[in-house]
Amino acid sequence: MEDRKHIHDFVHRLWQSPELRARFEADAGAVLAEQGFAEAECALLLDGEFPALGELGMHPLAQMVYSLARNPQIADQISFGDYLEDLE
Amino acid sequence: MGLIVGGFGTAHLVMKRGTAGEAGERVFAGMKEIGRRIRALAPDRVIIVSSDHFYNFRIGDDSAFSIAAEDVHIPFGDMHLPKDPFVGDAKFAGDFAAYCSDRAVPVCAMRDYLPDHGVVIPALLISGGSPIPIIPLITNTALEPAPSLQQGWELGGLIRSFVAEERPQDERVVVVGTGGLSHWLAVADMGKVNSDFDYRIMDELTGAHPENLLSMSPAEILAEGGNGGLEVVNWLIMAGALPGSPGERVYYEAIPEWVTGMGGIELFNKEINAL
Ligand SMILES: [Fe+2]
Repeated sequence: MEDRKHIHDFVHRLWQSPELRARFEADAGAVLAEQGFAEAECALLLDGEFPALGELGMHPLAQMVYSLARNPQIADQISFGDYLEDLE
Repeated sequence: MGLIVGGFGTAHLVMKRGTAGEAGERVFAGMKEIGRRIRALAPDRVIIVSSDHFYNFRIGDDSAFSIAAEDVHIPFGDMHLPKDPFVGDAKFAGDFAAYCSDRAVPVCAMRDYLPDHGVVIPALLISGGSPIPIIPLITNTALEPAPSLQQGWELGGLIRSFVAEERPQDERVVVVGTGGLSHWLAVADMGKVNSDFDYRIMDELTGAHPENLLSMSPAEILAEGGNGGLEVVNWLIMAGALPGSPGERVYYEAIPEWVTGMGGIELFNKEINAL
């Protein structure tokens, strides 16, 4: 997994930084272009589906958070929000 | 000396309400029941064992076990969870890490750890408005190979002896192992649930036969329970703190919509029950 370090570092930063994530949501291509990824890597990251991320060598746990950043509508599907009012 | 007064295993998330029908509601009801049972034990401290989901750790981090040494925890805020701080116990955590390293089991004492859903959801279910200090013990299931069930079991034994030897008289500690059961994340089998695996884990633990699980290698768990199933190590840490204690299943549902076999158990401390 060591050779994928630049990819994992990017996913980590993306997940940690609300600002970077907001910019990524607005224009993923622009953010990826800033990161110095190879063209093929950019294409797979833009694809964003699990097979593409797997091809990239991204760890499954990193794939999970990356796909949430790439597809905010999936993040809405794993929300705990509706249960909060029902806690004891 | 303190005492481990109870142990629980439970799923540590539910997905969007309404997306798994009645089965999803039964899981949430089961998780709330576990919260109720924990409060009924009147614990002074609760150790929540969870994995980090790449929210704090990085791929390549090499510590298998870490403990959050903070008096106040600030949640990461994933899954639309509130970021309200909750109470921890930095001294408990720091002393436990030192206790383990004296016994050649590395447990990293972490600062600035931001608990994700794996800790925050169980903590919300437990708290019931009263601030019981929570100590997050975090496993690194992204490690290759992942921490084994045998390692988890041994670490649980150290929780038990630490509480007995180092903690104040009559302190009541509950250990909650969270996550699992079978699920496959971001791999070809995503969506599969292996109920046979799930029942095997729950039945061996509630039957007070965790030793029947200890020979399962991380590779075997990956095959039978998926990469998400590696979180079963969290349950073995809990069981290791309550050796020989039988229990019962509180809830179980295989939920394909949530790509997970979701279960909860309670173990009853056999020493207390023998009194
Ligand atoms: Fe998890």
